[in-house]
Amino acid sequence: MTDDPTADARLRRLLNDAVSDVEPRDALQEIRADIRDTSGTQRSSHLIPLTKETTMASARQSNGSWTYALSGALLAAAVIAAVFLLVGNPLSDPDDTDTPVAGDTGNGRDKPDKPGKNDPSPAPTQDPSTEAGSEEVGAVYYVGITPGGPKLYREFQSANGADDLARALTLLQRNPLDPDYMPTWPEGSLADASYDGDVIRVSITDPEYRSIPQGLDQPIAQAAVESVIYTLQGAVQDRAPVQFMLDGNPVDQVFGVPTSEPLANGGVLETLNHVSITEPVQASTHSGELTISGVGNSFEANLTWKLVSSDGETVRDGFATAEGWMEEKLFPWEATVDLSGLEPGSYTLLVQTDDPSGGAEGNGPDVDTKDFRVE
Amino acid sequence: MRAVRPVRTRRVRPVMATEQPGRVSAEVALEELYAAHWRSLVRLSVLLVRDQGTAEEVVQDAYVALYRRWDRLRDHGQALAYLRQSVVNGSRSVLRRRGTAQRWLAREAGSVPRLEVATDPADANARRSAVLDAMAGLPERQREVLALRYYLDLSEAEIAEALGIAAGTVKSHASRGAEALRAALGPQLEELS
Repeated sequence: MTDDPTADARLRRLLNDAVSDVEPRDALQEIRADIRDTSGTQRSSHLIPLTKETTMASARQSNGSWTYALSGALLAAAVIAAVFLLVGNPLSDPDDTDTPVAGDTGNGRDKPDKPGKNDPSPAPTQDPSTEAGSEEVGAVYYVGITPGGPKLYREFQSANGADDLARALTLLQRNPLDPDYMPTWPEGSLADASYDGDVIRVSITDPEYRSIPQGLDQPIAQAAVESVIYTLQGAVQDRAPVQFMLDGNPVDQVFGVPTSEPLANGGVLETLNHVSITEPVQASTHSGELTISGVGNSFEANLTWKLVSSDGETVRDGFATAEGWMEEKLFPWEATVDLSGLEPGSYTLLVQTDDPSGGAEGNGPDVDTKDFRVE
Repeated sequence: MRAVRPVRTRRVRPVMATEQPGRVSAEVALEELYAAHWRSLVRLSVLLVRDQGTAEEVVQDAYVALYRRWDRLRDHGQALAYLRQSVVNGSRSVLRRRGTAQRWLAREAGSVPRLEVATDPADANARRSAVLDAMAGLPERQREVLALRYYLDLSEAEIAEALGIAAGTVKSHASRGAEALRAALGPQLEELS
């Protein structure tokens, strides 16, 4: 294939040398075990009506803080939790020319304030000529790594799509605006989201996505699955269980997480980071008086914020009080930051929950940050 | 194309293994293939995915897939070719899935200055790292063709079959890949010559 046999021989030696020190572990026993698994015992699970508990027990490295249980109590909590989706919006800053929602209708209330599923007129801002899909803002949950493990953060982005579910799917497979969050769903991995008023269905496009991706650990894989559940529930404005599908049938696992049956969302306070910043939007530009907002759940509803300049100096700080805290949900908070007198440049807003132990217990406060420019 | 998974029907477990002679011969054949090729297939996968743990998983899956398909293989003499193909496909899938989340994790962890250790070509580890880095930097097909050609010593026709591409395409990937590798690995090539 190459004309120079000497050069060929050299490349051959080089490649052989490159892996000459690779001595793989002995995997014969594991291969035998895999074979036994796939030829008999595993299939029997289809014959027994699975409870959610047995599904969970069979999860690899099942994480105790996770619950797929569709018990009445949890459902009730989930319904309450849905309320937090109805509030807060990223769009009210007219200075924010960089936000992806700039072309939107201005009041920015179309998504967060969208009424429940039974309301026949959900979108006063909807353009009637959008049969082929339109660009609208949607909430999407991305995975972020915290000292307490992977958690979900909410971000708003605009996307094209035929409906809210289609847009939500697009956003799940897109890069987060905030580089602190992690993209977990490769483009093209998810498709065909639908909602029949009872169950949300979404398909993985390839059997590859049944297994945990190389390099990801189990908690991240589970958080990635939760990001789909929370995002699609947000799109339909209902805490409906989510059934993962492959080729038109329920799929037994996604990213290694058991998915044979419809999954309820994990508990809000276990799954979501306890604070998410909605405004300012990452990489936006502001001046004058900046309204910062988001959702959170913090001891006695207290959140603290500070504005840090690019050289690490705290130039402003203050408190925000959320609308509540003693429930299994995130509450809206809002505060005003006076940017006047600040040197133009890059700044980071840091908002964190109150940690009454002062770091003595647990993993410290939950934090979210946004970088933006002052001009 | 990816290896198609068999339809997942439930198979009743035999009371005694001898009741299913086909299965027994499949297990024996699998163990023979394991003894003969496990190490070289893992090494092949390392050339493709760089990471040994990943390579071991890919090859392990390939053996399991072969076993599941055993009854449907027309020619059991093709078992090794099937394994090879599974390893190449599995390695490619891993690389594609790595696309998003793993890049993010790698960036968060801080980019490890791996190339710096490769500056001294006299060091065997540095040389091996440099080769694997250079392979990782190649386009997918070129990397696969070079690994099959220079590591497994497959013929053009065998490579074409393993990758499901035309022989002419193998040729062009091979020459472009070899050229890129020679350009990236000048010092290492000098050292080995």
